[in-house]
Amino acid sequence: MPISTARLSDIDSAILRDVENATSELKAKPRGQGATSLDSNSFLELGARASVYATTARIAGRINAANIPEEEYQELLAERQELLTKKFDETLTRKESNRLDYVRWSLDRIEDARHGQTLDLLEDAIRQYENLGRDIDRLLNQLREHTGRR
Amino acid sequence: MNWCDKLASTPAVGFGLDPYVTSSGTLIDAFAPKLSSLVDGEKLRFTIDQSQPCSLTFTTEDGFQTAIDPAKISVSFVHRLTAKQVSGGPPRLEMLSFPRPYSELLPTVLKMLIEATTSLPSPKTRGLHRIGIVAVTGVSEEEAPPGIIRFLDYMRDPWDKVFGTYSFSIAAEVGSTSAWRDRCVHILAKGDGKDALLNLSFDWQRTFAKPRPINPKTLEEIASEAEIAALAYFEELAEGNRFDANLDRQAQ
Repeated sequence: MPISTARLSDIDSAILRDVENATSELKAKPRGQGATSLDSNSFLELGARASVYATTARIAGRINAANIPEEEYQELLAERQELLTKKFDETLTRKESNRLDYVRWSLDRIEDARHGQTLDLLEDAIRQYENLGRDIDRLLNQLREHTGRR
Repeated sequence: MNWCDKLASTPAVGFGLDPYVTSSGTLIDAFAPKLSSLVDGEKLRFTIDQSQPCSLTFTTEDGFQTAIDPAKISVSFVHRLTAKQVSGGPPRLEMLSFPRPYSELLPTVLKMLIEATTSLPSPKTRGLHRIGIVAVTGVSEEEAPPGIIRFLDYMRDPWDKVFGTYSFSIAAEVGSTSAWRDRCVHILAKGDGKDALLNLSFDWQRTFAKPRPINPKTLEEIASEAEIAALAYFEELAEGNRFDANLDRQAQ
């Protein structure tokens, strides 16, 4: 159904299709004003359309969350402290407990925005070391097998 | 900054109007000044996506899509990607659209919607009966806000074993006065596969008991009130008190 004839409530699915179309068409176009390039490391991870969306959404989300004002961040920290105090005093209501989950999640997103990219690089480096370790183990096992046969 | 900002949600907004049938050619004429300003030398910085007998859809290069048909008009933001050739290497993906927080994009698309609506042919003879604000988000389930996870758990609760794929839609009234009724269409879907994302779409709508006149001042008032109410509801969803079985039991 074309978007122009869709109900208002159908706009969402049309948008999802458009995002998919945009990623699948990938027509060569000149760079627009304010375009943001994905770095080459990100490109290697783009195996499927979903991954493209996930990567761009994560990058965009990190850019947004990293720009949160320091004042708002401090307010979230203070609110978490207040709710935690209530929790340890065993006076936390169920609604406040849900609010605490949400505040923690918000702080996690900000932490991820501020340090996530560095941690991703670190994780990649660890993964490469682990792969190297497995390769060396495999080589040692093969050498032992050959030595044993002799 | 709300959760839609942190997850780079994208907005869509729309007005439901009294039907007025006009040709797509007339619609293009009505938007000629706006579209002409998007011509850069010989290059068009927009695309006409669809032009049917009575409807028109066009998208600007920076990702703002306007869709008009006899009874509705909407403006949505979609990320636009392009592959750029790189010397001696694989093509590199670039975003043509600029990633901005949802709470910044939403007033922008609302402003564009108001401008587009007042540009329609014969706006003063028509009434406005509905406004909609949509938040679309793609996120992995483990990164979703706790209220959304609670929502999913609430839906999955009756079964002992549930598989990873699901898709459901719930339209519910979320508020009302004598002048308007608010509802929200909640769509949550996750496909099959390890990398499948949770796709969230919350389509908040306010329907007026009596049609409102179409003029910039009234539209700005309607948009401003709707923006506050929709964002408050989206925040409520992310906290998830509605989906807390323990709170339900306490209420009973």
